[in-house]
Amino acid sequence: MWKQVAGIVLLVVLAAAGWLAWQVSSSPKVELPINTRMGGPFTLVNQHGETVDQSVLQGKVSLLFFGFTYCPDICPATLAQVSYLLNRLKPREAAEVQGVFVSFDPKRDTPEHLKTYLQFFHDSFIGLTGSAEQVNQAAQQFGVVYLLDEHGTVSDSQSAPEHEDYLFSHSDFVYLVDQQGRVRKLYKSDFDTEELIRDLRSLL
Amino acid sequence: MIFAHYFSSRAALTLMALFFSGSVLAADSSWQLEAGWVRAVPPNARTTAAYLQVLNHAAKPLTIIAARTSASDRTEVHDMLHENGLMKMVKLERLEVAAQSTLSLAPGGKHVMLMDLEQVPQEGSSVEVCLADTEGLERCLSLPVQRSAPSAENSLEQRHSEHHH
Repeated sequence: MWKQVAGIVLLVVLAAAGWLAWQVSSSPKVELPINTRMGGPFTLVNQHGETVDQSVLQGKVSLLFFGFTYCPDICPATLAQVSYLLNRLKPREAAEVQGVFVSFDPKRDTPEHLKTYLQFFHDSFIGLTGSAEQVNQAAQQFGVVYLLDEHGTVSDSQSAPEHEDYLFSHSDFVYLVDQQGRVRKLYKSDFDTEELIRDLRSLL
Repeated sequence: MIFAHYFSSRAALTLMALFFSGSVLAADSSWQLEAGWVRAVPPNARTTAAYLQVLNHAAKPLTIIAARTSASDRTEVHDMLHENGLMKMVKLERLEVAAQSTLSLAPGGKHVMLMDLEQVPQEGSSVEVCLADTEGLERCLSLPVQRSAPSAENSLEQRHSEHHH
């Protein structure tokens, strides 16, 4: 009799352990909240000179960030770090992810310039630019702030001479955007690669 | 011919001085440059940055007031400030290194900015970076051109500025 009881107890214990193990293993990955205040319609021009809209951020997970190619430190560092991250992904994952760099310096960052510049870092990069108004509108959708420094003499970058060495003060967030074009998380430009890969995989 | 003789002995002395100047300079170890790199950038980039460490061995503060490089005609020292959530680059007229301290020029912080590049330094080549102090002493170091910091594994950019040694 006591053998049967022990057997039942053992079964119950095993079942409980199994249930617990299943709970732990199947617990959903970190669910990233959807940022409803960022994103929205925009019109820009890609590095091939084609007009694109917000749908460029759909279908793949995007690592979106804003900058300008005359920037010597932060922007190339972020580009290098994002391309490093893309290379860390498995090919199957990398096919579902794209880097998107938006320039808020359309005067110097023409589509052709962006094309050559971005190719150096990674094939998957999409470079976006446009008119000063288009760029400004897109930046506003993501709460991006950029200010021409007094270092430069012109207040309107659209009329700035080609090779003037003006600089911008700017916010430096990297946006994790899901396949529906929704912002899921923001990172500082010196983001932790492991954290971003973990978050990114939760969307794949 | 006395002049010629005088001249040649002067020349010999100069040669001697040149011969020893290397060791004299090395003996003057008040400060030195160390462990740096230059960021490899796309062929159509107009700027890049150099990073390195300035070691001040002296018991007094060191003030760097000039920078030059072999890769560009215009070289400035810049700092990256975080102001109201914005990254702002400012030109520094002087770079202070506290007594017996090391100042790290590193990504996201102080850096030597190479401007007006007609030709970007090739990845794998090297660029000579020279800094000069208020007394006119100049130190140069040849830095490798590479895509990321030498010690980089996954966290490419370490953002530290100053530490004591």
